[in-house]
Amino acid sequence: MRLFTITTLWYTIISALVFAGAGMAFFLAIEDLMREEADEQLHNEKLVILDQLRKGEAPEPACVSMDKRIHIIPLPAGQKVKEEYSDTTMQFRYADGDEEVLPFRRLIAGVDAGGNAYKLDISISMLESDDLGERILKLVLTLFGVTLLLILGLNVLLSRLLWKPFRSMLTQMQQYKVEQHQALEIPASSIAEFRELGAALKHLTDRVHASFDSLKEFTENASHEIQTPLAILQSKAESLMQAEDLAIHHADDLAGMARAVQRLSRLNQALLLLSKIENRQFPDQTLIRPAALIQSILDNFSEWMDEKHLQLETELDADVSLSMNPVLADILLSNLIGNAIRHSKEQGIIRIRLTSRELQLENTGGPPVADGEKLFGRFHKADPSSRSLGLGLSIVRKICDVQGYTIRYEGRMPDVHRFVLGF
Amino acid sequence: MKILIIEDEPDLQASIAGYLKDQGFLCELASDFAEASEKVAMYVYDCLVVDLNLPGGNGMEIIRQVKAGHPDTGLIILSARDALDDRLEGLSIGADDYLTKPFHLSELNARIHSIIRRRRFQGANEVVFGEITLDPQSRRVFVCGEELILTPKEYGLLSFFLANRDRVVGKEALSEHIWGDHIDMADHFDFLYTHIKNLRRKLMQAGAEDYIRTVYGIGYKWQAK
Repeated sequence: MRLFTITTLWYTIISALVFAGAGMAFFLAIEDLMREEADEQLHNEKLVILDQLRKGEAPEPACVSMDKRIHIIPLPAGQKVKEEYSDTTMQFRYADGDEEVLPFRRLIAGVDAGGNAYKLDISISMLESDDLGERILKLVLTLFGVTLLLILGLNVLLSRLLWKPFRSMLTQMQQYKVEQHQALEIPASSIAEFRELGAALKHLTDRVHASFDSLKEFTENASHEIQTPLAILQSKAESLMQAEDLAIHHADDLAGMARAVQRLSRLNQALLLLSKIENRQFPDQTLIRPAALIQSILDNFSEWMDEKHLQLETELDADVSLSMNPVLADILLSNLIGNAIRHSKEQGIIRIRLTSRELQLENTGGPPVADGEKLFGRFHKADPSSRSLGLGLSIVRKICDVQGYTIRYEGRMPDVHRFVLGF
Repeated sequence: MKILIIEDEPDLQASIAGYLKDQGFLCELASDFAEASEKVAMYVYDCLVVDLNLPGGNGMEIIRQVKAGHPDTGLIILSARDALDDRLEGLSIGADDYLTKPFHLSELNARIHSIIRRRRFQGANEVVFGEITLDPQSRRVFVCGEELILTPKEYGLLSFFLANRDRVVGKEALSEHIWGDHIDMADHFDFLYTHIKNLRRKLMQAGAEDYIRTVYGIGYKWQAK
């Protein structure tokens, strides 16, 4: 839920409660007032009737109208009537047959007039107070609606104005990439919290970037520094190879050393390549024709394909062109094709399809891999005993990342492995 | 043939010098910028092997200095940084070649040979070994005067062997020489073995001696009987 939604919701709930409470209290107060008013009126009426009775002017024994009704009932001597006020209703039938039940206030009282006792039963209409309640409810509802609209409007306005710096910072944070550090532009804001947030974010990103930079620098320097001792090792191994009549076990040791040194240096170069791709040190882009490039890579790899007796099926759209760094393009396609050849089985099939939208590479090999994402991890090896470094596909992934391409693996039973490179 | 090796790592310097001396080169050494600068100012060399990161300065400066004084000198850059810019800058100011550490001595040696050949004979000289003649310019091979057709990889192996004659060449160096970046495709060395076997067979069928000796476990050696 957005902050805006939540605050509006709470404002609405609370103001609804406040308005309901206030409206209720108001209504009750008014009703009380009306009742008191009615009771006073009844009391006055009683006094008037009593006065009339005392003077001997007989009032109407019973008069019934829409808003008043008076019954005067003579009482046998000695009977007492308790005086009480109460609410009641009366049914009226209009001439046109409509019926209506109306609220009345009623006074029953006993009076003494010149020795005669009477029971007075007086009712007056409370219709007006009912109307009043209804009007008050309408008024309260209207006020409530207006307030709600005001709150909404204010919220929209505030979130437009006050939250602007926040949103700007948020956008910048969402787009922030530590490897392409751009110092945050903290918008000026009169709001202290946003200023603090901005300062904290700026501090954080600067620090993160600084540590990223130093880590990167360390990695690169370490890799470069490793190159020289490796060169020494390799040259010493080569010098040792020249020794006449090496004992067989020495030759084995030496061969093992030479292999290990070579592996180390390839590993180091692959890691350096990864960091160079990450650092976007292959800036120059040219228009390359993947179809031609694929063809030349396949020619390069022909001896391995022949060795495994692979069957090659290509469907390449020669018109497809990509804007890409030529070195990276070569590495990308070589790694993918080399990977397909290396992992295909004897007499397997390699299918390559190139369209303007994507490149599909299929090979038949072992059973499909369940978690294709894993294949792109660094040092992931399908066969732990193989001499490969397990970095080929992570280099592919990295190149795709900087180029904005997508790459995914699809395995299909029983033995098809497919890589889809989306441009 | 005089070669100046400008390299600040004494161990590496010694290995390079040792290997090249055995190949018949005269080697001089310089360990820092000042020494290198002084030597190239005083003497003329056929080829320079320059490490770019030197104490006291950048190897690029030495290259500029040499190019200004002796434009015929061959130049080969050694660098721990395989930075494209370095490579391009080095080649644009007149270096002939660029090797990234770690490199194989046999590879360095083969490249020095071809640089000197290019510079001294404008590439027109042939490499002769007994009855085998190799023309680097047209990449053709003749045995007893008859042309022998080789695949590009077989040719690469042969020229590498001829540059490193009488030396044991490791399998790694050979594979890297003929497969370059795609070395990891040649996961095992059976491919190398196949190519060498074919080269040997073709040479012998054309009437050449068998000069390729297998060195157990390690590699091969091109050797006159």
